[in-house]
Amino acid sequence: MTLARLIVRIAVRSLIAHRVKSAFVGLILAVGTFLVAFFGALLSSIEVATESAITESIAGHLQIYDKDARDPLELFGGMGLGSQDVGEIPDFEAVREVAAAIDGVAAVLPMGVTNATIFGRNEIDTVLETLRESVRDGDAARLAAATARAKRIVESLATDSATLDAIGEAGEVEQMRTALSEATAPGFWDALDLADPGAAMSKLDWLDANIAPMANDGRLFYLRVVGTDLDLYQREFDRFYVVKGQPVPPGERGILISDRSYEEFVKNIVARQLDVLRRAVVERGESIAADPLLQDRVKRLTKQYRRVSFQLDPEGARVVADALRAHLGSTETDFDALLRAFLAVDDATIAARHALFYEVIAPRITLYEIPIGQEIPLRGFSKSGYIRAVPSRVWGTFETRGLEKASVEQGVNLVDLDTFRELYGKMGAAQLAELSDLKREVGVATVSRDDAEAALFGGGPAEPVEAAAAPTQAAKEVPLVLNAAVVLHDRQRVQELMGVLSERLEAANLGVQVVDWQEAAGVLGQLAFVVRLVLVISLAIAFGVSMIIVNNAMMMATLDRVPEIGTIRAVGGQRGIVVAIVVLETVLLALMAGLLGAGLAVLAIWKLGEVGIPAVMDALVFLFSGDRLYPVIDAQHVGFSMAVVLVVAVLSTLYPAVLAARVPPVVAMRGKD
Amino acid sequence: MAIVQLQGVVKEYPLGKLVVSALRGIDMTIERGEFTVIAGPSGSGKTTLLNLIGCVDVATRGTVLVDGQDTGRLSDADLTRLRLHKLGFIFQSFNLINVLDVHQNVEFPLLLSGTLTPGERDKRVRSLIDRVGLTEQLIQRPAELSGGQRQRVAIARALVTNPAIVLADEPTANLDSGTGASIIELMKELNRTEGTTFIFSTHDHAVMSHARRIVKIRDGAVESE
Ligand SMILES: Nc1ncnc2c1ncn2[C@@H]1O[C@H](COP(=O)(O)OP(=O)(O)OP(=O)(O)O)[C@@H](O)[C@H]1O
Ligand SMILES: [Mg+2]
Repeated sequence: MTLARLIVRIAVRSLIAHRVKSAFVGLILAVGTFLVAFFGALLSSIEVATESAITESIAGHLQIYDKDARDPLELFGGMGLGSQDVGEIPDFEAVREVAAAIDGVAAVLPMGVTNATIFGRNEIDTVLETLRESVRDGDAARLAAATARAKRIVESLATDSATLDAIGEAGEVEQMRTALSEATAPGFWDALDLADPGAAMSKLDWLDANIAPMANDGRLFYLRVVGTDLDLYQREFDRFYVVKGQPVPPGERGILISDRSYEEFVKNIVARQLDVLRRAVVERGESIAADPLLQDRVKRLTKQYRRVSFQLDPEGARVVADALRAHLGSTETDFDALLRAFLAVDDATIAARHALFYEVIAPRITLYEIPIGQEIPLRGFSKSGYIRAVPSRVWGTFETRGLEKASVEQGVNLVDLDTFRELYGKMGAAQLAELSDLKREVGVATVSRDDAEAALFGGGPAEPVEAAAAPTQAAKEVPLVLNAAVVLHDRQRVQELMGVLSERLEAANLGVQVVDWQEAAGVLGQLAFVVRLVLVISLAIAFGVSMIIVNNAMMMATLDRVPEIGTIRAVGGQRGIVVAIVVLETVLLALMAGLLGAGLAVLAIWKLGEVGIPAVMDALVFLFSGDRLYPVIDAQHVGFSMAVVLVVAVLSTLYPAVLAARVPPVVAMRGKD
Repeated sequence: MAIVQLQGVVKEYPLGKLVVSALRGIDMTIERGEFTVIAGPSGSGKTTLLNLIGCVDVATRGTVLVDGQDTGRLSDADLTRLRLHKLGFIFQSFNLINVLDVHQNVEFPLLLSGTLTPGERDKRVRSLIDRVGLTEQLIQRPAELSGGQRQRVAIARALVTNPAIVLADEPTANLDSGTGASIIELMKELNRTEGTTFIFSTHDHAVMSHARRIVKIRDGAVESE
């Protein structure tokens, strides 16, 4: 109809007539659209990155576990001490059947999480170091986390005090026991807070002097172990890749150690220290001269020379001594003094000495205390406090793409389901058979499971002995599954499919519950959530501010038009028509500006997606799920940003326009009132 | 029947804490087809009175009947229709739509009413523009016109719908005497041929001489007829 054309014509003409004003208001709208689209895309890219780092590493999208579990499932470890009791899935095959039948489910993996120890580099050194850093930085959260770790280590040292006997003379052991009981006494850790950094530091010194040596020689370290169907795992989790060694061949038993743990704990301490110093100085541009913490590290390094000298045979020592003398330009004949001098690195020498170390010394010592391909005793703790050792071959080390540098992730290690069951303290078919043989031999009619297990490997959880005593049952091996990871085809459907799965499992009465990845990830999931919250809040603020600016601009622009609105009303234009004209004008302007703004956002994100945004801080590495974030933008962001700006602009126009259309035309014609 | 009837019309403007009384009780009747001039000194209330009759403002008290309808009781939509179909208003300050050219400004009320075909509409617009002598300025914007030319656009726009009542607030104030006279001629002709009712405000004695009836107001009240 002509009236409609009139409205369009006036709106368009008005836009053109007020070119300068239109351009200015349009620019504001474009900037608003750009901001919303750009930061929206950035935010969801971060969200996807963080989420996939978790879901594609171990958690899957959903996790299923015992409905009556005593503790919540925390795959990456929680804040709590000791191992969690998440119950077990009684009939995993039934669960898998139910889950796999749902459209959208890609895979269902059996899992179990437990703790184990191996001998390796002293973990308490690292913890004490972290504690020192957090006291110095006044970082309460990090301090709390590290304190929990230190406490756990000390407690397990106290429990595991049998190893002390192997360490030293009786008097020394007595001293250690006293130190341990002091460190496990109630209230000991309370003094370790930021209120009095001096006291906290001296407490750390005490730990360094009295506790560290025990672990130092024991070199006990803790592994968070995830037992799973390794074939399926290596296939289903895209971010998994082997760094050293090889994947566990199908059907074989064994362990894959997290590469970070391997580097941090298993590597020769001198090599490790040099690595850290080199990275700090060469890669991060820090300075030993300016950083007391690095100086401290160098000081410790010079005292750790025995970790090298003890490992060298006379021939090796001679070669190394020659090389060092040449490098240092020294005539020193005492090897230890030479080595100490070499290890006293500074900013100028670290790069060259690091290189020399790897060239001359590393090939002549055992660089990693647990070589790839070797079988090691993995030691698991049962609830009754017994330790059992499960021989396990180290096939290699692995990393999770994107989480390599994420300091929050403690490093999860992978074992096959049989190894896991044994670590966890449940007997496999072979052991069951052995047990019944043993029983026959000993002639015990009824034996409690605890006793039997203690006889076999020194411990295990209390369970009815009947199950263990039935040899026919031993024939068919039922794997122990504590939880199950469900991988979906589409991340968008997590909540929807969680509901479906939950319902079906409930209907099948399998005694299990379903949680999403965020909940299952424990601290890591919470961190992802907090980070997302912070991002969303800051985005909301930026968003709010830009919308207020858009609102103001549109209000001002419309107020300028009030006399015109009065005129149209005076010559017979109905309220609806004037409002339509003004709103249409805004819509046209907002669409053009929105296309421009969103277009620029697409270009900007596209460019950033090519180059990548560097993660300048460690925390960002986790968020970005890698060294760089490669953001993507999709139609949803473009549509959303344009719609939001359009709606805000129209509402900001509508209000003054409707007000102007309500007053008598002469009043409006006179202008602002 | 009277086409305009005012009874006890009072218009007050609030001015801060004060109240300015622009009209203090006007009683007045204008018959269909009359050619009336409202005369009075500056500030006497001429514009205020025309605004009330032209339904672009509302009285504080009293009743204003236009074409038999009590404007105080009409809805906004009905008042707007009344303005569109029955009234033509030539404002003292012209009030043209700046983004539209001469032709479009004049055509505007016709588009709103939507009664004519595009062909008829164009013919009517052009004939009126011709009558006010702006054929040359057809596609110029108000900003590109002189005060007198703008006034003539406003006159053409007021007349284009062929309204029953034309209100003109000092329609010749910005015109030279020649153009002024020809405009008055046009209006008188419309008055004669179409029976259009004209209500003017002016202090121009030349214009007053054409009027059949002169209502003098002073300080918001009718002084004499
Ligand atoms: N919006 C307003 N607010 C306050 N007072 C007003 C307003 N409009 C008009 N007045 C006052 O009302 C009175 C009548 O004004 P009006 O404009 O009707 O006079 P007028 O006769 O048209 O004058 P002129 O010949 O100068 O146009 C004047 O005193 C004027 O100051
Ligand atoms: Mg006036």
